[in-house]
Amino acid sequence: MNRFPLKPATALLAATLLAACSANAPKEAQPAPQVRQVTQSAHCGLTGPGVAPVSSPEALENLLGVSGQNMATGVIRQVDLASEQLIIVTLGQKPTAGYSVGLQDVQWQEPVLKLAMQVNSPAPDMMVAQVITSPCVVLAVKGDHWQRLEVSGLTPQPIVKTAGK
Amino acid sequence: MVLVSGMAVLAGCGGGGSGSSVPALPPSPLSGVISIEANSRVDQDTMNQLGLEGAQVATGTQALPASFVLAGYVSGAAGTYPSASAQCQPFAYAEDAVDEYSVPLAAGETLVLESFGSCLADPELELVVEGAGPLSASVNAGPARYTLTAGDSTEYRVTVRNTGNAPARYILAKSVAFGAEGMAFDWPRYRFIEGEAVVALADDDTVRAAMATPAAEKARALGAGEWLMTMPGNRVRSAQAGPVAEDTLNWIRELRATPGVLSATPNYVVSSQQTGTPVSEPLYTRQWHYDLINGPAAWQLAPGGGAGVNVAVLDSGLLRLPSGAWHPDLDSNVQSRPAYDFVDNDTIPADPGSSVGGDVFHGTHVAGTVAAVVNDAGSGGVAYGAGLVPVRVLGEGGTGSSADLIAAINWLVAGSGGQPYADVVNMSLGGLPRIQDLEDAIAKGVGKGMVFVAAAGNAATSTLSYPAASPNVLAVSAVDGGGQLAGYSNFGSWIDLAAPGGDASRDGNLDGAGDVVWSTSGERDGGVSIAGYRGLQGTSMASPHVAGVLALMKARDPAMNYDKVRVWLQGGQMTDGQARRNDTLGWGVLDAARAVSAAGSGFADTILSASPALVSLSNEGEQSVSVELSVFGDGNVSNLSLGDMPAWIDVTGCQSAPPCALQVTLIKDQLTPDEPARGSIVVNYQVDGASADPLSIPVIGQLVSDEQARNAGRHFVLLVNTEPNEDNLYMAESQVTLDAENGVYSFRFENDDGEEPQQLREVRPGDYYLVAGSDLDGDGIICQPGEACAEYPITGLREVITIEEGQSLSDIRLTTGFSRPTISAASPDILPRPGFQGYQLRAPETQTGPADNRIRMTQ
Repeated sequence: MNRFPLKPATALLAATLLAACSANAPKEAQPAPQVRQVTQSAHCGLTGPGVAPVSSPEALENLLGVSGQNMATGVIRQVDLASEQLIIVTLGQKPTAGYSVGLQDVQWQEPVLKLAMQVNSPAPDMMVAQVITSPCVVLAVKGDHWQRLEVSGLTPQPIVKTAGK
Repeated sequence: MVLVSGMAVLAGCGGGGSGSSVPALPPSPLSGVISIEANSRVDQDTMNQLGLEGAQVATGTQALPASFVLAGYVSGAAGTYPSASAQCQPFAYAEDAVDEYSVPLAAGETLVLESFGSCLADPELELVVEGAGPLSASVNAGPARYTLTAGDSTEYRVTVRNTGNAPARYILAKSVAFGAEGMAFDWPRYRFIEGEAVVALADDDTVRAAMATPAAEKARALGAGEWLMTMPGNRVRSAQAGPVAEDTLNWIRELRATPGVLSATPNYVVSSQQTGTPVSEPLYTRQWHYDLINGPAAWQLAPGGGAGVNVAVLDSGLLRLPSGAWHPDLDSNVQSRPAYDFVDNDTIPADPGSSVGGDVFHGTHVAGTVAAVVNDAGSGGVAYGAGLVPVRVLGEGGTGSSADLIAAINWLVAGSGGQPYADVVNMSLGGLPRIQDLEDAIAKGVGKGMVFVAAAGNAATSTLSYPAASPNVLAVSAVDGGGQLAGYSNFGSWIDLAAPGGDASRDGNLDGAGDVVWSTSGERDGGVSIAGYRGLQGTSMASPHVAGVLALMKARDPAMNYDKVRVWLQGGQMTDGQARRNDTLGWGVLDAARAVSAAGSGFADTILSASPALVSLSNEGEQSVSVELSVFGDGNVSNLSLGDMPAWIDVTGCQSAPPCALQVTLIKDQLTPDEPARGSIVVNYQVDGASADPLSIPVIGQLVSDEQARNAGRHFVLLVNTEPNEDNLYMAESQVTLDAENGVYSFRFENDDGEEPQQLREVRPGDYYLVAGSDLDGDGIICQPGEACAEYPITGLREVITIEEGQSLSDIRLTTGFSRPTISAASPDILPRPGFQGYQLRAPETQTGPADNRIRMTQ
């Protein structure tokens, strides 16, 4: 198992480092997928906490067409879906401003890609804008050979996605 | 079906629908008509045409109408789609690098080119409008937008060029629906009084200096630093006696360049109550929340829009443009007013956006609901004439400290010269516990005549949230478009009243869209703030409706204070609550007209009010609308008569005294096709025997005339399997091919005669999806982005259709178009289709392949 704490704004997983550190890796182990944070938004328009892998332009347009979202669509569309897969991690609807979600940590246990999310919430009794928000983070993953994706930090149990589903 | 080799040609078969004139046709198992969305057009040389043997690329220029959504195909080279890709079928594509169009364009109109590439690649497309440089469009880079900023209104040659070798589908569109949803609607130019200007000056010394110079002859104080000035007679340069419009405008331009002059505007003529209020703003049709609070009637009662009153917005600051101006829909109401940033401790409360979590521009949104300017653009605020005092107390991510809030309130209360900086204070923030210093600060303000209003909070609890729960603050809960408490809104014994906060998950007013509150906002692009508009929801959005109405009231009653407000509130004079209180809506939902009337210096105004406040008619929408006229106030309204109205409407009704209804009906033959027309219905009336200011009801009329000319390209109507194959493609079992005739596609399937092979148009009993669409890039798949698509019964909500032996389904109706349904609060039934690739056409059974080894996809 490889574990690297990452700064949310500059999260990038180095595949070579991960491969080198892997003590029990099989001989033909695949390099770890590289994960980077593309953008965050307070208004993604998605009402439930969840994880949405996006591989096709059509699926992306569906998500970018959601009412009420204000994601930085320019940087998202710049991602080449032929070489990177987008993963949108959303906190769901929140009652006020002050919430955000970012990438905290990445682990690669072939063939499981584990993403730990940093969720920020306003402290109790903090003064906050009383607007409904739907925070999310958009990640780009280079290397689509993960079979299972586990995203922790959003819900008590990790949210699990299986490749192709 | 056998694909003989890697190439196929879509060979045309003509119409082939049910338009046959052969008598006594056997019953069809399935027939119907596919109508086409308005303004749909198709490129004249898509693969539907280029796939024909011997076809040549069109060399002519294709003329397009004033509004259109056109789908097209361009490819820099010919070739064959790769068979290896699941998204491609191994069909041939032709070279057609350039498409040329002739497009009527007027200044301010926008042309959009969106590329969808093809299964092969995402080539770069160029949009070239005659006289301008190329603009790039691709799936990755996004669409290209060209706006004609200046120049003649004429036909422009528009070129779509594919700079790569791979094919691409694209949409080229020009529509009044682009931009801010109808902002292209051009309301009549406001008239102004020649020789007069409304001028805002920096300070008293400047006023004296300006009055002492020949720049302006007379000045009358209008309050809030504004003066009505008259142009000196010697400034008239025209031959005509007296000032004329151009001289007045030249004079105003010079005034604006004069030191100490903050702003100078013509003295606009208010010809009727509705002109120059938020009703005449382009976004008004989306602002259900203004009708809910009886805004249009209130603006008749308070035509100044709260002029002379200052409203402080304690929030995240305002969007500030690189030029130093505030959001253009707020700027003139902010200029020359006090401002402070308690987060950064400076005098410029600019909202920098958030470094984490995206940019909200919460304060800009709230301020716009209070007092966005009525300026023929965007939206207007409830108190569109009031001054805005922006105070920044919320920083990163929309959070802040109670210390900053207390300091901000103390600063406002202290004010200048013993006068507080604001008459009304809006706080769309909350979550604090009770803090004595905060209570003290607010109490001092109340003692000086200030009125504080705050958002109740969005936690859906009755737990006290301060500052709203303070006894000296009006706590505002939120309602949806149906006037019901929003699901997120706080409630409890401490709620004073309710106002629209929206609820995106509901459509309470049944207007087909989620109930969000629309106001000013913005975005950050490359570190630069760009002004815009946005729909948001929350008690944050409810509170500024109340603050705006309080400003309108303060303008009517300068002695208004918190005690008077509470008396009006509990007497049912500010709400629809009829002096009964409950724990969800407090004393009821805000009624701006009742509130303004209550503040009307002890006399009750009587006015005639219209609902809806704006009428929109179209031959493809509502052709006749009933407008309810009701009386607001205690006077006796009589002698109703219709004044001016456009020739393209017929108005009947209201023969007796109101309340009554006018029936407004579109007269189609009086409209110029495809040119939206605007006008007003003027209703004259008397109150207690004296003439009252007439009621003016804005009307929009549109005659969509392109029914016959609509064309979404050759259509394939398919009965497909209800489960996709391993490549996520739904395979056609039966298929008919049609060209548009008189703007529709008429289709007809036939019963299977039992003979092999099954003909394409023959249907066997079973369960299917009925779909139709175009295949503009010739890859054998319909309904890809950039291609037309129709599903039965509604696109996006397909249902299984069952074909039974011996039964006939006729008059089946579908609608095809290039747009797709989106997942939104307005259409919660639509589900995403991750991995959906389209519907795959069926090639004919070919006993003997053509000599050139091509599959002919014919019937």
